[in-house]
Amino acid sequence: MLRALGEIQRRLRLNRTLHESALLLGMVAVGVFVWRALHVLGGRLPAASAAVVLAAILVWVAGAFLLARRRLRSGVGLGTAAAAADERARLKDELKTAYWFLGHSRGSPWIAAQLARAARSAQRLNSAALLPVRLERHVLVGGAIGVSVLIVVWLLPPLAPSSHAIAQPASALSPAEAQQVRRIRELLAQAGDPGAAAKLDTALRTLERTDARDEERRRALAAAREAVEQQTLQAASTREGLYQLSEKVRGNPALEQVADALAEGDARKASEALRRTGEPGGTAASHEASAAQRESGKDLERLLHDAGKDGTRGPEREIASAAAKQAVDRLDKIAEQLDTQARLSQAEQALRELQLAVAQRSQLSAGRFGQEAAHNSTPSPDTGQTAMPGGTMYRSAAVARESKASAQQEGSKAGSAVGDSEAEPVLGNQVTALAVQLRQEGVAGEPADERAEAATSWYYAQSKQQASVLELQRAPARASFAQAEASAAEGISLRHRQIVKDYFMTLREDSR
Amino acid sequence: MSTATVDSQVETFRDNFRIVRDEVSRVIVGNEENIVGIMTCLLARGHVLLEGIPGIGKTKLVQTLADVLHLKFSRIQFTPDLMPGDIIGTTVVRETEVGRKFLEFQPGPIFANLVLADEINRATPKTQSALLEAMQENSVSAGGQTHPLQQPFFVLATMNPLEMEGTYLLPEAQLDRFFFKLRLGFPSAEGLSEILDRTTRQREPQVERVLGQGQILDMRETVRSVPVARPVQEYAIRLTLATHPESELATELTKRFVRFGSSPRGTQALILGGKVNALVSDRLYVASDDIRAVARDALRHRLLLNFDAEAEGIDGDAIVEDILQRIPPPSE
Repeated sequence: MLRALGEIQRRLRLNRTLHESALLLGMVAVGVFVWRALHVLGGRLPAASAAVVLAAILVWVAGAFLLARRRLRSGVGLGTAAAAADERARLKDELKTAYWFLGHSRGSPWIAAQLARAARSAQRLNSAALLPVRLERHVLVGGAIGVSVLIVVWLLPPLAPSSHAIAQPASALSPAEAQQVRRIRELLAQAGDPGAAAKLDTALRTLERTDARDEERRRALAAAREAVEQQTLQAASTREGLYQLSEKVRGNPALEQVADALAEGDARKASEALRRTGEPGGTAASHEASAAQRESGKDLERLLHDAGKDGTRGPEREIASAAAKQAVDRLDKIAEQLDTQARLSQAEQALRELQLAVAQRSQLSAGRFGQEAAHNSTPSPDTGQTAMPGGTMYRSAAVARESKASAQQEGSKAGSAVGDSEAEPVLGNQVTALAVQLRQEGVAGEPADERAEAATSWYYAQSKQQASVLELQRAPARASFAQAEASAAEGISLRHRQIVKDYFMTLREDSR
Repeated sequence: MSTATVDSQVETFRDNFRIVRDEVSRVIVGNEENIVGIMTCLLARGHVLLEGIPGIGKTKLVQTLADVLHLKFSRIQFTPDLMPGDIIGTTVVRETEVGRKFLEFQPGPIFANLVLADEINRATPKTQSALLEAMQENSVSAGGQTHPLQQPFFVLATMNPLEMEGTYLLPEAQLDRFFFKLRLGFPSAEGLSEILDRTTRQREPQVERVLGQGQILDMRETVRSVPVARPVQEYAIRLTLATHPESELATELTKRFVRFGSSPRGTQALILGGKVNALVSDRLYVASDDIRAVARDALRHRLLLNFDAEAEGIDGDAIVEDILQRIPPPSE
């Protein structure tokens, strides 16, 4: 009997191992299924994805826990084998009872007779037929169904997020939208600004992607539009700068036409006027003078000031013509920038139409769209500044600092919005005013380098209006700085003195 | 005793049992389960309470059994004016030929092997107690003397659930004395047709006496010899404990509807009934299925249900059924 029970025990163990392996595979399959299903449904049901992931994780953990517990708690002994044999051979607890009698009491002839009967029953058992080592039919059927479902889900393409996209799976854009995209691309080809062009190009690529979700498209369009708006703002500030420059140079009779053109914001016209003004001395300009002027920081006002001098002496004349040439170059460059910005502003209109089309097609409600497009309106606890579309609202004046930490907090706090309680100051780290920082950097560095540095700066990137204001503030600051450095007698700044000295030392006698 | 002797003993038991059952079935249509139940009680040294509507064959069943068994049979029709002395007997004054007077005990109808207590709930509690005392003690005390009852002593009481006017319901303590309470249901259409065939002809089927007193006593001894494995015994204990509302094993139904659960006599009935069932099934051990097979008959009358149970129509059978479903048999 024990031999037969041992054989059944072995088969039970094999079956259990087989079933646990199947269960493990099933768990893996569930994981793959959920992963794939999320991939397929991700666009259609973004809100449900988190719940599904959570549920899948829970099921997985529970399954693993149950499997481990079952494995740990239930060993397969001979008693279990006897019970299994009784159940399958319908022996009405014969082997189970006999096994118990075997281990506990043998004295009675009734028990001996029972053991003898049980031994005969055990010998008659065909353990291979009784307990075949195989997966149960329902496990196999379930496995087959599971594999089929897995294959189907695997082969399914990801569902498009909207019915419109389902209707047109081949293209992500409608014909009208595609036309808008083409138009923007043409404008991009003409525009010379690499930063804004890169952002626009990224947005267009996102729009053309068939698997891009509405959120991605809207974000890309918003980023592109922000870049274009920044260019527009810079153009506006440049024109304002030109106007202010015109007011400053208007006193010089030689630069009247230039001042008029600058007041109109037409840099090209101003350049032409200046070119005409500096024509006689233009041939006398030399590379050395240009280099000297470049050293002075390419300050347009200074250049115009120098260019407008009516000097008779040789060196002054040369300096004036070199400055005029530099000023013309600068004005030409500004004119090019303004042209580029004008073209990009045309692209902005197309972008706005595209953004509207994407927003209308989105499944998101208008309210949610508004929320998602909005910026964070909460003032920063560190600086007291509020990020707003198009720039940053500076609140440095509101930033205060307590001499000691209050009982309520150590960090920042805002004043009470209601009631008659005294408003508490908005607290934060003591910071140097942003405008001061920018001005210091601007004075120390090269203009080209300044722009590159500012592009990576958070403050500069977020504050287009402020940048333009600073740019305007920087021009007179540089001029006054250069004037302060220059001696009254020689009219040459200290920084340029060595260059001028070297120039004259190396001149030939005849040239002198 | 060798294993062969045991086998032969079991075979004899099974044959005798089958013969009695077949013989009774010649007269009684259907009710095979109840015939087996009555035989189980007889062989487990218990007594049986039969409950059923009038005319369903309760008395006929008992009479047929008495005819089949070569035992002394007596029938007591319980009525409200029946006195204990009418059952157990009385002491009378007798006079010898020389004129000397002496007291002599005149045994009542209880002094028989097979006693039919018909409509036991119609007698007063005082009379019922006299019978129930004899059932428990297997002896009768009268006139300061104890008179042992002849073995086998087997009482079959019948009870009519209808016409409760003027009846005296058996208290739970007395119901507990009955090994099984069997319910006789109304026969099916086929059964009814068979009854008509057998009873409306000129000659009704006759039975033969197939089993004597000694054979029954031997069969009783055989029943007691059957071994019970501890897990099965524990299963019977768990079933009994599950009928007690304060027990950890109590089911929801038990907690809601049972005031008091089964007594230890219930557990004894489970084991002894299981032993008979095992022998009838040609087994030398008691399986959990044997316990389950007799659980309803052994426990249904031992549960004292509360008012809620009565209001919601819950009876002992429903409670026992629920317990059988919820208490798992031993796994190993």
